[in-house]
Amino acid sequence: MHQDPAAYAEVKRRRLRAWRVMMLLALVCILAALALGAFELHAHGLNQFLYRAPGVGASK
Amino acid sequence: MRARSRKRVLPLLGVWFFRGLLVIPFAFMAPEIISLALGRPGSVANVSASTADVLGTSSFLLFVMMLAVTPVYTMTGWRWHLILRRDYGVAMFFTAGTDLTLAAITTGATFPGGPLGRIAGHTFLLFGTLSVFLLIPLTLTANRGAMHWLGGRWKSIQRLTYVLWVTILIHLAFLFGLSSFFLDALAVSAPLALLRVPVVRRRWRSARKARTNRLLRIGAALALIGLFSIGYSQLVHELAVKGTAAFVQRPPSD
Repeated sequence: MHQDPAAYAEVKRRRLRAWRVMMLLALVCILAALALGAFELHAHGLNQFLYRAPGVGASK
Repeated sequence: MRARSRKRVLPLLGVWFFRGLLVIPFAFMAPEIISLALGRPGSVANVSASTADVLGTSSFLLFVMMLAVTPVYTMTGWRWHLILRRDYGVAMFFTAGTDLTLAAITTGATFPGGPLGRIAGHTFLLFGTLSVFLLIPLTLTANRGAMHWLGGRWKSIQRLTYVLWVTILIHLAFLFGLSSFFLDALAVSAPLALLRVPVVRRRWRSARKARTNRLLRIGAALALIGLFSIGYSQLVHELAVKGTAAFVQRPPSD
C-alpha cells in the first residue's frame, strides 16, 4: 500500500509541529519553575533559599 | 480451554491489582483532606505535616513502579504489565500535583512568603516544583491520541522522564543529603538505570530469547532485585508508617 507523497509530507509536517508545541510546553514548564525560584531567591535572599532547618520539608 | 482462559484472567487480575494500589496515597490522605475542606481545627497543621511524607513518598514510589515496567519486560519478556507504565505515570502526576497544591495551601507556618514561597522558596522546593511541572507535558502525551499526533517523535517527548528522574534525585539530595531517603532512592534507581543501558538491555533480551547464560542472568537478576528491594522496602515502610498516622489524623510534627 503506497501513500500519496503529498499526504505523507503533510503528516510529517504536522508531527513536527506537534513535537515543537510539546517541546515548547516543556520549556515553558521548566522556565516557569525556574522563574518562581529566581523570584523567591531575589525576594528573600540566598541564605533562606539555601538553608533548611532540620525536619523542615519532611519529618525524617 | 481452561488453561487459555486462565492465561487471560491472571494478567487482567494482575493489572487491576496494581491499578488498585494507586488509590492508597489518596486513601491515606482522605481524612485529613476532608477535615481541611470542612475547616476543622488543626486540619491545616495536620495536612502540612503529612503531605510531603505521604504524597511525596507515594509520588516517588509511583515513579519507581513506572520505571520498573521496562526492566521487568527486559528480564522476563512479560507484556501484560506494559499498560501500567502509563497508569502509574498519570497517577504520579495527580499525586505529585495534589502534594504541590496542598503544600502551597497549608505550609505557611513552615515556609514564609506566601504560596509561591511554599513551593519555590528553597532549593529542594524548587526542584520538587520543577519535577511536578515536568510531569505536565509527559502526562498530556501519555495516551494513544498523542502517540498518533506526534508519530515517531512521541518517544523524544517521553524521554523527558530521564530529566525528571534527575530533578527528583536532586530534590531528594537537597532534602535529605547523603543519607536515608536519598540513598534509598539511589538504591532503587541504580538497577532500573542499569537495565536501560542499551547494551545491557539488548544482550539480556537476546540471551533470554536464545535461553543462554541462564545462571548469569539469574545471578544478575537476584543482585539487581536485591539492591532494588533494599531501597524500595524502606520507602514502603516510611509510607506505611506516615500514611497510617495521616489516616488517623495524628501526623508527626515537623
